[in-house]
Amino acid sequence: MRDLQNQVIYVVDDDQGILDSFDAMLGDDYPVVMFNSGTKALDVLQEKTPTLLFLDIKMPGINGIELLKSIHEKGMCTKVVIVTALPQDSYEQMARQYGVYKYLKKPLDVDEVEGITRNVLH
Amino acid sequence: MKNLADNADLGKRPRFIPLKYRFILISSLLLIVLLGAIAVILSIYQSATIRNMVERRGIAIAQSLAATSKAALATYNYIAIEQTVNQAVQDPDTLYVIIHDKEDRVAGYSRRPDLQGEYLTDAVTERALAAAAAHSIQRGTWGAENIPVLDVSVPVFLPGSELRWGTIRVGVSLQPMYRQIHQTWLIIALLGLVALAGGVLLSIWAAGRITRPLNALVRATVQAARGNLQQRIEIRTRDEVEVLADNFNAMIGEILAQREQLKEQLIEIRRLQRYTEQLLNTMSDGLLSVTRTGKIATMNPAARCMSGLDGEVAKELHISHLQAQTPALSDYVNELLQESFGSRQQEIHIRGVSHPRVILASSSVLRDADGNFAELIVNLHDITELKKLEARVRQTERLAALGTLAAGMAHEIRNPLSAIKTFVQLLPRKLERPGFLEKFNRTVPRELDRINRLIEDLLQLAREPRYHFVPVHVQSLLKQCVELFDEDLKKTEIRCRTQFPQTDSGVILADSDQLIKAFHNLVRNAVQAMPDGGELTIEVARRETVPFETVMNANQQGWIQISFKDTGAGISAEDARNIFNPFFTTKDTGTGLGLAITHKVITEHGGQIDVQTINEEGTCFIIYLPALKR
Repeated sequence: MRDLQNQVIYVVDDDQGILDSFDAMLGDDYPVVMFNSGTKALDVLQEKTPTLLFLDIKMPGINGIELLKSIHEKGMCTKVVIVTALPQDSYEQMARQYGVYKYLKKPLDVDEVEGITRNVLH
Repeated sequence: MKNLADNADLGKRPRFIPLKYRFILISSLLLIVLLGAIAVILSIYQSATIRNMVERRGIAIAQSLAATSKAALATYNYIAIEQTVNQAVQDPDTLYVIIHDKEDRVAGYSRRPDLQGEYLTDAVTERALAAAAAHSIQRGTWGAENIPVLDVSVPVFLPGSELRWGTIRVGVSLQPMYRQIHQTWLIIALLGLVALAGGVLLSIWAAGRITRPLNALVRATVQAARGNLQQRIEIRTRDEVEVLADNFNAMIGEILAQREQLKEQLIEIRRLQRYTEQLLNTMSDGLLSVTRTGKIATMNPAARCMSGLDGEVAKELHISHLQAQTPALSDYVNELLQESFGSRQQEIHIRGVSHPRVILASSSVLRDADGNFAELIVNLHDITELKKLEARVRQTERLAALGTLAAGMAHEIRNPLSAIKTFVQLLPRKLERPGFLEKFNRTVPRELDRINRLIEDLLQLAREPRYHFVPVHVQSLLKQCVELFDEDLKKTEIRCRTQFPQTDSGVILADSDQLIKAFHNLVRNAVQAMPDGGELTIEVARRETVPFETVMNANQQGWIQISFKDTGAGISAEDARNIFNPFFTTKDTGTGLGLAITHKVITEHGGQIDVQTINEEGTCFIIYLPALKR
């Protein structure tokens, strides 16, 4: 059970289209949990530790960078992959500071997402 | 000042007699009159007294002679009579003694025996012999020296007879009396001279005493009249002159103080004048003042330079001389002069020395003490560089806005694009997977719609306004809106409340479709701000004034205020500042263009939209639209 729980992938994005596309990409092969706000994800992360977390930056309430910072400060072993539509490079530098695993820019490439997921989960 | 100086030259004035001499003259004259009067009275009194004494002596001698010579007369004893008369003139003052007999012949004449028995015919004798009284007194002269004499005659009667037996005449000299009177006169004269001399000296001293302080005062006033105010008069006479001197000192002190004050004021005025001149010469702003008739009263170097009159003497020049070089400035001033109370700001373009300049001209009216128009003051501020800077800032702002817009657009397009790309990439691989096509059909068209909606919103935001304005009743328009929103609100826990005024709230010039869209955005915003339900209040009110600077149209009458108030979480002050910027959003849905479009529509209706918010207590959008005149 514990092992299975560790294999969970979280996707945090306020855009329904992005959540739907992650479901299409990974939902068939992995346990994927979707959150449409950073606040909700943070609540769950108090108790649970997913293996992989796809995280959007621009969200109402807690944004992705703040959530990443929080995970980093807690010393969680979750691999965080930022997925953002924002064009500014400054966010990437910030994300690197907080130990981001990968920094992906939208539109996403299916192969890249699948490759990262495979690498992390196996 | 000239008159004063002339008055000061007292000595040269015609018929000028110094007070001192007047005093001496008057007191001397008084003394002389007084002494003269005393002398006259004394001499009259003395002569009367002496004459009285001489008369009585004469009468006494005559009566005694009458008594002693009665017998001799009765007997015609001339020898005895002669002896008697010669004895009677022993006294030197008794000049003569004559005894006439019954027949009026000379019975005896002292020291003149030759006249015995003769008749005397002089007037004195005749009167003496004719007199019937007890005695008669006459004045006459005696001898060759014409000695003044008092002739006293006494008739001689025998006892028991009324027959006159003779007449006794005694001549008493009046010379001692006259001598005495002369002596008295002499003494009085001498004393008078001494008194006069003493009196004059006294009056000279007194006059000096009185006039010396007066002279000091006169000298001081002369000095003061000549401008020498650094003096004080020290007079201690304990009388009016001292008071006069004290008053004079006080006056001089007052004048000095005032002069000092004037001097200080003059210094301050000169300093201000220099300061103003310096300021006018060095200031970069042009300053010119024009009289009512359009004559240039002052013009500083900067103004001369701006108006192309550099080097020329601009004073007294008419403003129309600027027409050739700077027609805009000339026109501006002329217009203001016609208005005659100009205080207007205007940007004017001038040729400038090397390149065109933009000048911000402002004016004010200088009025005289009675409040009448004196001069029009025009300030010329060169804002060429400011304008350039403004243009640069605008360009930068445009680029920055474009950057923000581009970033926002990128974000808003990439999200649906990413979803579409993912589904397209997965299509060949997962076509056969159960449920995939269903997901594909649900997601891809939706995301494509999103992109299309975004483009439509953007176009609306960027499009030149193509409004069809007609007069619209605000109240009926809002009622129409509420009916439309009702569909949206039914799906939520939100209650909508409207607060309209009792009377008709007014008519606005509006494009109803655009306004409804703008209001719809606000309602959608409110609905999204209250995910757990709440209350939306739409309120309408008339306002005469608005909390921002504005210019009312000719056909405008006040404002209509429409507010949309929700009971949501509210937004931060920073978010409130950015809320109308395109792509600014705090929500998970929408393009971030809704409020920007609302802002644009309201602004293009001549109105304003503002947001008031308190965190945790909701947000209130307030719209002001110009109300049409009824």
